[in-house]
Amino acid sequence: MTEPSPDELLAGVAEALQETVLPDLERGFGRNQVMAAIGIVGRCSEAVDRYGPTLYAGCVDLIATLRETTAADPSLLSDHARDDLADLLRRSVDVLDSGYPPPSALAGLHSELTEHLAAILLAGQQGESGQMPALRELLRRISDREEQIGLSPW
Amino acid sequence: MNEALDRSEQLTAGLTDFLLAELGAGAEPVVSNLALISSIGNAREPWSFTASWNESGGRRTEDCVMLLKAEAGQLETSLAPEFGVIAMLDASPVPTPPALWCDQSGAWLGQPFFVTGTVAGSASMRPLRVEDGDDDLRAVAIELAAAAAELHRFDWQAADTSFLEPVTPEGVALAQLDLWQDQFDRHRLGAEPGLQWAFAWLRGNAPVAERVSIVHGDLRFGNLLYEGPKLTALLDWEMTHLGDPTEDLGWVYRELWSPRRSLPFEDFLAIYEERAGTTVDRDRLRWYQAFGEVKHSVISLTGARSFHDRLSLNLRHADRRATNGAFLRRFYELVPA
Repeated sequence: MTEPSPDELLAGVAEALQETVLPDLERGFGRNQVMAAIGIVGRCSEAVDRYGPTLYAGCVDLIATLRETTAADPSLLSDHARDDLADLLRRSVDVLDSGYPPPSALAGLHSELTEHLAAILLAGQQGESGQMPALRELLRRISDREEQIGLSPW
Repeated sequence: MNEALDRSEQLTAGLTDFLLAELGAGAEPVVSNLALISSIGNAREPWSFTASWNESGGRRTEDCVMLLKAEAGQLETSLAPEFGVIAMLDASPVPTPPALWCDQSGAWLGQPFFVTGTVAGSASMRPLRVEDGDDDLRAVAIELAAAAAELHRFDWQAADTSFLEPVTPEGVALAQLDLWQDQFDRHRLGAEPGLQWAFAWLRGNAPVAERVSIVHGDLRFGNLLYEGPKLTALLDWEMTHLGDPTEDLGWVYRELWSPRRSLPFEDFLAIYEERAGTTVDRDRLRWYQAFGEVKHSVISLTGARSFHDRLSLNLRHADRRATNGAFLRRFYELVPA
C-alpha cells in the first residue's frame, strides 16, 4: 500500500502548516482561515482511521436498538413506517455483510437509520413510551461516538 | 489595485454619502482610516473608522465601529433589535457602546449596517484558561453579574420597544424554541435525532417566566470588553430580544466561555440575585442551560450549512457540526432521566 497512510499524511500536513506557514502570516482573515484549516485537517487525521469502524458500530447499534424497542412497543411505528423500517433492515444486511463496506455506504445507511430513530423518538416522547430510556441511551451512545471522531486535538 | 483596498474605498465612499444624508450637507462629513477588524464577529463584519463632521460651530471627530451584516454566517438576524436595544440602553447603567447611526435598508453599502462609538478594552478569552483563576477576570465577572442584573431590571416598558417582538411570560420559552427550531429545520444536513428529541423534550417542559425583560441573548466572555478589572462594554447584541432573564444566566457560564476558575457560578448567581433583587429559580435555570446546548448546536449547524452551501467560505464554519456531540452530551446530563 501507498505510504504514508492517510492519517499520517493529514497529521503531517497539519503540522507542516502550523510550523512553516502560520508563523509567516500576519494577523487577519487569511491567517484565521489557515488556523481553521489546520484544525480541520488535524481532526480528520485523527478521525480517518476511526470513521468507518465508528459508522459500522453506529449502524449495528441503531439496528439492534430499533429492533428491540419497536418490538417491545409497536405503537412507536405507524404501519407505513413499520414496512419502511423492515425494508431498511433487510437492505442493511447487504451493506453490513459486504466484507469491508465503504464509509459512504455506511454513512448512507446510518443516515436512513437515524431518520427512523428521529421519528420513533418523537412518537415515543408523545406517547410516553416505556422504551424512552432505551432510546435515550442510544442517543447518548451516538453522542459519545460523535465525540470520538469530532474533537480536534489541534 | 487589490480587492480588499477596492472594497475599503467603496465602503468609505458609501459611508461618506450616508453621513451626508444623515447629517446634512453643511456637516461636510469625512470618513478615514477604514479598516476591517477581523478578530471578532461572524454574523456581522466589523470595521473601524474615524468620522469627523461639523457640529455646533465646531468640528467633531469620533472613532467608530461599523458592524456590517454578513451575507451568510452562523446567524440570520435583523439589525433593528440590536441597534434599537443598544440605543435604548445608552443612558442606563448597562455598559454598551454609544449608538450612532443605523441603515437597515442596505441601500448605502449593499448590506445593512450600524455604527457605534469605539470603547476601550480587550475581548481576549485567554484569562479564562488560567488554571488557578485570575484576579482581574474575577472582578470583571463580578461586574458582568451586576451588568446582567441591571439589564434585566431595565424598565423596557417605559421605552419604545416597537423593534422587539412582543411576548408574554407564558410564551417566552416557546417563542425561543420556535425561533431555533425553525433555524434547525432549515439548516440541518441530516436527521439529527438527538436534537429533534431535545426540542420535543424542551417543548414538553417549557417554563413560564416570572417576568419579561430585555435579554442579551449571547451574554458571555468573548462578547464583552474589559480593561484590567473593569468591564467596559457588552457587545454582540445580535440575538437580543424580550424574554426570560433566566435565559442569559443559562448561557453565561457554558463550558466554552465560563469564568468559573476565577468566580464560581454560584457566586456569580449570588451577586446577580442581590443586585437584581430576585431569586433565580434553579429548575428554570437548568431548563435554560439545556436550551443553551441546543441553541449552540443549531448555531453550529447553521454555520456548517452556510459553508456546505458555499454561502460562506469562512473555514471556521466548515467543521462546526463536529462540536455538537459534546453539546448534546451536556444536554443529556442536564435533563432528568
